[in-house]
Amino acid sequence: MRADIAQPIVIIDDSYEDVEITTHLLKELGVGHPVVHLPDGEATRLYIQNSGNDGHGPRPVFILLDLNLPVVHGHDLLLEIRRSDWVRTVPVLILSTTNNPRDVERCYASGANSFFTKPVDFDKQRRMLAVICEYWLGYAATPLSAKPEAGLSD
Amino acid sequence: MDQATKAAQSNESSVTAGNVDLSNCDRELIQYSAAIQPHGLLLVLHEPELRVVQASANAAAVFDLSMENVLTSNAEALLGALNTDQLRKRLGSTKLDGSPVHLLRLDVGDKQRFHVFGHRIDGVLILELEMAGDGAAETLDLYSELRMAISRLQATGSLDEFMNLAVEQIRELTGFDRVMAYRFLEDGSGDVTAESLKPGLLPYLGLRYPASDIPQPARRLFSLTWVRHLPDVSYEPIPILPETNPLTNGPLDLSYAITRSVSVMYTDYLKNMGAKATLVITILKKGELWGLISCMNHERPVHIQYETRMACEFLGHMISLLMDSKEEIGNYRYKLKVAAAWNQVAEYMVREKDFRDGLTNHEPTILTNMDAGGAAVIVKGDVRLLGTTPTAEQVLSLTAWAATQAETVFSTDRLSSLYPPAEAFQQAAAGVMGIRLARNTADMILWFRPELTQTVNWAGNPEKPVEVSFEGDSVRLTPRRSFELWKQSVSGRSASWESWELEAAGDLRRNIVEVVLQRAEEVSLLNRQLEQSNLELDSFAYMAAHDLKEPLRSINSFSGLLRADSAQLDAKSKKHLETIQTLTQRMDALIDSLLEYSKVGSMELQLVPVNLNTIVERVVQTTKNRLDEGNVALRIPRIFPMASCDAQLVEEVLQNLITNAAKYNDKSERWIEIGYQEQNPVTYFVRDNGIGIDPQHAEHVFQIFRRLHARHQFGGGSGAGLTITRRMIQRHGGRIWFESTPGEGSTFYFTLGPEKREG
Repeated sequence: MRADIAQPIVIIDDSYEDVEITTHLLKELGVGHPVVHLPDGEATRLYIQNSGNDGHGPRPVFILLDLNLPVVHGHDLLLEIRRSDWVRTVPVLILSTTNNPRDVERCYASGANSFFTKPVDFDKQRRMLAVICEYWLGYAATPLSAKPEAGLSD
Repeated sequence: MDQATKAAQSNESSVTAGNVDLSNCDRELIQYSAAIQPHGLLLVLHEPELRVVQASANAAAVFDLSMENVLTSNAEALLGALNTDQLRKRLGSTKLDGSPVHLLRLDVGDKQRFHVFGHRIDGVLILELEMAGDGAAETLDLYSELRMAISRLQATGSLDEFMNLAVEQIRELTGFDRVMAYRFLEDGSGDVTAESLKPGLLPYLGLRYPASDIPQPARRLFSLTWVRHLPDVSYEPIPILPETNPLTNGPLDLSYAITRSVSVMYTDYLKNMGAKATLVITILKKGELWGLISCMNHERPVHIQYETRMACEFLGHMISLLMDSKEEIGNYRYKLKVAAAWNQVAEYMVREKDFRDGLTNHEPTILTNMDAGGAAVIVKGDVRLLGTTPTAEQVLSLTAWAATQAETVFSTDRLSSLYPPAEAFQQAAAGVMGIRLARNTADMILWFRPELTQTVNWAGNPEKPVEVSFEGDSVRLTPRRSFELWKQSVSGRSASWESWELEAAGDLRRNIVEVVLQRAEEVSLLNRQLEQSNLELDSFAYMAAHDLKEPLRSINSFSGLLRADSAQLDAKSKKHLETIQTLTQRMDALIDSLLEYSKVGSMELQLVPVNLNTIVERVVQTTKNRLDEGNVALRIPRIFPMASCDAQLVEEVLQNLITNAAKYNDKSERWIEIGYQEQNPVTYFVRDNGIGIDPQHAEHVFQIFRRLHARHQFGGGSGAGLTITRRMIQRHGGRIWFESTPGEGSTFYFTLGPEKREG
């Protein structure tokens, strides 16, 4: 089942350059989902509160989370996401510059769905993003736009 | 047995030295002699009525009564009512269960003056009346003499000096011909350590007397009373009547009696020595019988008066008290010197990484100033020797034996008697003192004392303390008559270890244990800090890599965007953008190498037994494509042994070496051989027929980012591969090196454990 096109792809990353490239590449790949850029933990909390608690905004189709964030570390943010009723089930894909085994271990333990090392090479980045989109937007089923009411499932 | 002893034996055909000794004297109950010496008179009274129970036979003459009358009378009848009143008062107020106490002076008739002493034993009161001299005792003079003597004794600086003065003072006080200080040795024999004598007499100083000369019962009596006096060695004993105490039906115990008759053995012995009168003062050290001060008159009998004997007793107390400190002063200088040296040693020990270096490598060492010929430090089977010692092997066997002895500090001056193999090296180590560093190991420090081929000057042959004489039908043992010098050498013994030396060794032991424990604590603290800093370093490396890579990625990405989007750029500009991207990729590789290098340094090694063949198999699989592409043949001539190593690191080592070997090869037929040499430790190698390494670059091969070839030659690379490889090997404690002939090939060797050091 295709995800609702209104569901945004959320990128949590403090590097505007990286986000700009990613946004560009997504467009290049023909991805129609809106991109929401949250530069830090504070912005992420506000986003979850505002879009989540009133139940107005559609849930993200997936979240790209950078680990090395200022103030609130990406891993702590991952924990907060997994505690939030609204986005608990949304796939979170970790994008990190390095593949520190401890980080990999920790993130999967805390509920990450994938762990990627950002390639320096532009072409590799492009290929990687293409695979991510093909997988999560093309093949995988993702949670619905709105959180289902309790007892409504099945 | 030496020649002299044999000769002496053959002269005495009927008696051998071995089967006769004074053991019968050891059994003689000399306190039950039931007789007194004639300068005294003894009454045994029953309290409270002071009825006479027993009396010495001379009582009849003194009191001018028949013996029957004496034995049926009482104190009032014999001493008079006044004296008895005084006696009763004294009896009521004085503790009398021990040494006799002076109770009163007594005049019987006009001429007979007595000192009366009393003590209680076995439920009776024993009164001893000792004849007093004519002149009134000059108590004041005695007092000032004593005071002077004590202050002079206190001023002496060593035990020898102290004892010499002590015998001098006692001779002055008593007027005896000869006064000797006699010290008991461990085996019961005794040495004359100081002597003062009238000019013309043969000195006994330095002579040793066998244990049998002062048998056990006599030693017991000496330790009971401070002063024993025998005014006339040739006295006729006065019997006590009746012989058995009618109240107890047993013999009268005269252990404490002043005027007790002494053993015939003893008087014979004294006579044989040429003594006419004696006085013996007991010297105790910390409550134990240390020795005697023995006074003798050779010309005539002499009765030393009660007052003077009191002064002697007082001096005996003082000598006993002062001696301890004097003996310590004697050791003091030696002790100070050893303590100073060992304090220094303790400091070295703290400064050195290996505490043993502190004990042995600097001056002073644990041997400096110590009265020992050699020393050894044994830790985990490693023996360090100082001075004159047995060989390292002998020391090791000795420690194995000593480890079975429980004490942490131990010593012996006769090692070979406890540990027979020591006979082989007793010249160097007849005696040994040791400290064990831990209870459950053979780690210890030993000090050795050489054999003292001591010469003992016996007063007469100690093997023949008695002579046998035949008097009619009876055989009588008499103490030897000859006190001629009898020399005997003693082997297998060293000078004995002083108690303070053992204490000092114990202190050193505590110091060492403290340093070792502290070291262990420091090491564990360092380990914790290292762990922490490794963790931080690890994080730091990742952080640095992240921060360096982020801008790099953007540079690359935007260059890529420019190249893709901008149709108006000319070919040259596009080429420049491409170069920017290539450079960022190279920098990315460099950062990865640094990260890898840092990881190898800080990661925890997983040392387990590893089947190297499995590892080689995996490496072959992962490099197969590259080897096939390069037309490289892989030769693995034989199966690898098991190795203790970190499997992942060794896999990377092999992969790096094989990749390099495949890379730097310009031959048409290329091969790589992987093998090992059976050395200790096992040496592995990767050999190729490649381009080889110019010897002038030997130093640079393992340097990080040092490339020996143009970037585009041989497939490029970051230049960190061999540096990381070497670090992986170093983490195992091993090393890597190579042999190479330029143009013909190279062989890289490596080991996975530390080299065994010689010795």
